[in-house]
Amino acid sequence: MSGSRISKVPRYCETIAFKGFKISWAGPFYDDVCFGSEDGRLKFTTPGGVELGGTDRSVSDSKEAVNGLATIGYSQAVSTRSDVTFMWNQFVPRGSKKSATLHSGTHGVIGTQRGYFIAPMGELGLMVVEAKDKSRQDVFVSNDRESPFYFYRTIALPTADYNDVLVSAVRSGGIVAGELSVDARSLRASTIAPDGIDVVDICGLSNSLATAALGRNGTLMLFQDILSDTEPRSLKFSSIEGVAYRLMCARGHIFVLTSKGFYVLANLAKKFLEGQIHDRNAMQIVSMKMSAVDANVFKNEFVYIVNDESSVYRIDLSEVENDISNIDQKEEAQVSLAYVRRSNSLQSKRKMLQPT
Amino acid sequence: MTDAEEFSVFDQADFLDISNSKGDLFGILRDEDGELRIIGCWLEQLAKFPFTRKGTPWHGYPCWLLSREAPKNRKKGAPTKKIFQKLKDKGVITEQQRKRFANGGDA
Repeated sequence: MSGSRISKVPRYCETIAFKGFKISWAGPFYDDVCFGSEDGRLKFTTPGGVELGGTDRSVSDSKEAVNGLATIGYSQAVSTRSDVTFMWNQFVPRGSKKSATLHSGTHGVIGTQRGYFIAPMGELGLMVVEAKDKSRQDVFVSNDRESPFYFYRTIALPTADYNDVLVSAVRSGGIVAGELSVDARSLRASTIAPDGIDVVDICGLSNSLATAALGRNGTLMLFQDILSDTEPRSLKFSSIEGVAYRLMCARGHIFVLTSKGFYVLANLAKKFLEGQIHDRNAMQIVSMKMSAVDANVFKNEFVYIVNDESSVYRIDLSEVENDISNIDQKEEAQVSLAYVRRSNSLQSKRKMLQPT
Repeated sequence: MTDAEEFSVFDQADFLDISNSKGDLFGILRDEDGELRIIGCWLEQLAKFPFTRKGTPWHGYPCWLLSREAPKNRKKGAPTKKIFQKLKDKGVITEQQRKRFANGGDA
């Protein structure tokens, strides 16, 4: 391993740090791992930690902290709180290199199977940009014109007919879910608003429309089908402390990152999908106290957690799984929430990307 | 937010001089558990008091973390990351909260 330092720090965690590189984001980059810095640079390693190089300068005009990165084919999008930078052929030895910038900040960026970059832009709405390199690159920003939502996190769920179902955490507005139209200019969506819950994150539970959502107070909401489920399961565990930041799922487990720690809810997604969640649920929870900022799952094998020391904890999920049967901590949880489902039509406004 | 709470946000920002180059002040409010409170209807956690001349009352409002469309290298509305660093250096927020703000997330 060159340049990166890996040493054992809390249980299950290895620390990854780079000299002169304050990590703000870590996640997948094709088959490798990407680290974004607080000044907008990128660094790449293999999953094993071998450095593959990176960018000497910020990829964004703003030089703000990287808070998201997505790839579709030879296109990449890097987001910060001030802009989104789109790049074509930047990291491959082919074609002409090109980039463009949207000078509006987002809370992250994702790529969809139909080939669109999607970014939650707060009260402005949901950004949609086709990843294909075109002479004229249109940006569509969608929101409900009558009562706009605050788009904070978005995921794309794949469907069998190759459509994109977009699901967004819209904070006190709840969850907005709908299929992206054929021309990608509108979203016929429905809103699921759990009473009194500030929804901060969502994640898919499998290759279907099963979805989990996370409230700022740690409440979990589980949907068998996010487009039609009117009676999701709501769970809250007293051992999950702090302000909830992130929600992830891999290998049938659900992961929650809060201001106080990282929690593995062992086999919760698996049990829920198999219909084994009942009124009283004794859950095995692995708790790791830490002061973290963000996290992402890598290929169902690792979770990369950005901590407040500007380094990253890498957790090998197979190591955690080996210990799950030995965990004594079992906790029962169940809350009852009222949900309201409404239909919305999100209309888009067109913007233009600025070539850089 | 009560008037007293609003004054406390301003007083702390003023006392610790959490200001940018224009003289605008920035502050936060904590809840009983010590967590940062949400103070705006768009879930903002940071308050901004734009600079006013001596003798003129200050007015504050919740401040977005995301910048909006603006000419190159000019951020519209959102505080610079120097403000987050200042808040941390003066002990108003933790390093974890500074990094969350710098990423555009709430803390």
